[in-house]
Amino acid sequence: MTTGDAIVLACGLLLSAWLGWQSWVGGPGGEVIVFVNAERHASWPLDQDRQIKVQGVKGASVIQIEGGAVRFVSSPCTHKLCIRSGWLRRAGAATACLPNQVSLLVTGVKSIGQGYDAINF
Amino acid sequence: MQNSRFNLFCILCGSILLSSCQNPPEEFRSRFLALGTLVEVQITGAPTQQAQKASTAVREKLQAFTTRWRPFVTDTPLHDSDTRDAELAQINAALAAGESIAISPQAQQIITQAARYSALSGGRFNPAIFKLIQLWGFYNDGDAHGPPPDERAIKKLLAKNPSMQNLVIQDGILSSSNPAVQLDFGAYAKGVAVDMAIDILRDHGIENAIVNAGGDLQAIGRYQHGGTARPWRIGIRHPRQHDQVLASIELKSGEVVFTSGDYERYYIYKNQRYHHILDPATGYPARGVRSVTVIHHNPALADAASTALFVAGVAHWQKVARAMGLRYVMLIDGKGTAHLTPAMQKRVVFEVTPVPDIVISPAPGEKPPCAKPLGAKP
Repeated sequence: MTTGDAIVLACGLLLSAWLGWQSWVGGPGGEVIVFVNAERHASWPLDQDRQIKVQGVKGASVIQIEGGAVRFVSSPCTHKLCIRSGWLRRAGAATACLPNQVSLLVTGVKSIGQGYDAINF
Repeated sequence: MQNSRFNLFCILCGSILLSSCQNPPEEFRSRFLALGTLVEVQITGAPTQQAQKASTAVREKLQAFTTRWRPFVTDTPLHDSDTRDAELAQINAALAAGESIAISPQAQQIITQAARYSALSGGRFNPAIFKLIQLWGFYNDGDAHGPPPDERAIKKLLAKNPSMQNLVIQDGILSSSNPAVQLDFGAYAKGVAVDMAIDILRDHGIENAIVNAGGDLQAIGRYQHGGTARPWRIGIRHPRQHDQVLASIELKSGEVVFTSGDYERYYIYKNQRYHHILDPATGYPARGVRSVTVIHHNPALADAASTALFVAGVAHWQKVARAMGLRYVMLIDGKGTAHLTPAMQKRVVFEVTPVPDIVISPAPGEKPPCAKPLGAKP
């Protein structure tokens, strides 16, 4: 294992810890937001099953939406921590493929925002 | 020739018209990760390019601010700049070692202002208790899941009584009379950052916008769309039914809405909810309150105050609200009853049925209101 691997692994572990508390938050998810390079790339509703290819900095990550949940199916990284983090379904849940700089964030049920410019919590 | 000139004129006119169509004053939204949460910048009534430029400036500033104000640096930082720019982490290392440290003008301002709000709140807002927060595991990179920490460990930390009053800043040098002081601006930095973000937007000529940092937000101007304008409409999320809006409010330009809730970071252990808002006096999560929402014009104060009022609880929140100069407060207690200042009662519209039980409490200098039935909508 090289130093680079160790750094990536450590970051992945830290991120999963952070995601740990994130995933307690919130009710069922409404949509998933995909970030590439910390910038919002796109979002998709979780109630429509589909598979999406997202171009990251190292290559394409494949994301699957099924039955109200979302996960990484494949990604061009060494340790596959993003894939191992499994399905995300609750609002606030998030995961990332750090080497490819692709991250997913599940937001709340969309209907809560209807009729409002922003939700305070 | 004449004809071709006329054609050229038509093409020019057409392209000007088209370009104005491509650049209408539409709604612009940008989302990014900063401050350990999802930040959304929403801009209306400005050309897309201008909005894009302004929101990029906000993103860059807030992401740098996040690095600067993390309470500690990880053992394996990604970049050198993660260590070099992490000012709060350096401050905490110096305070723990009993050393004085030269700090930036921004740090002086943040620490001085936080100390002032801490004093006004009677120590209920206390950014000096990072060790206690670490013990509970309630910090950004933490993974708190219970069981709660050992009572003796909590008592031991409390006995050292870390407080903002232990800090002295003289000629840009910060020193502490108590090595137990470790700073965490988790209940404050978001407010400071939202303030900065709004300043950046204004500097870019943006007049109508909302900056929403993980549910805490400030609005300027109004919502504009297709020649019509109306006040920004905000839904306050129900503290227990997360897919429901409990109440709505309309914001005036420059107003801030901040909520502290026991549902933001928590775990359940043996049927008991342990959340991240710790009472500095007991060392345990503050009990008896589900959420506190405040409206103010200063986001940093609103951030500190929502935490302080949560800790103050049903018995003492009015006193703290008065001391901190708040007119608009809504506190939802452990039974779901809404406690409102009279000024706040005039502004919120409850959006749930049945409407929660409501108690109106007089605010600073206000007479208690006449009893009158309260409906869901006026």
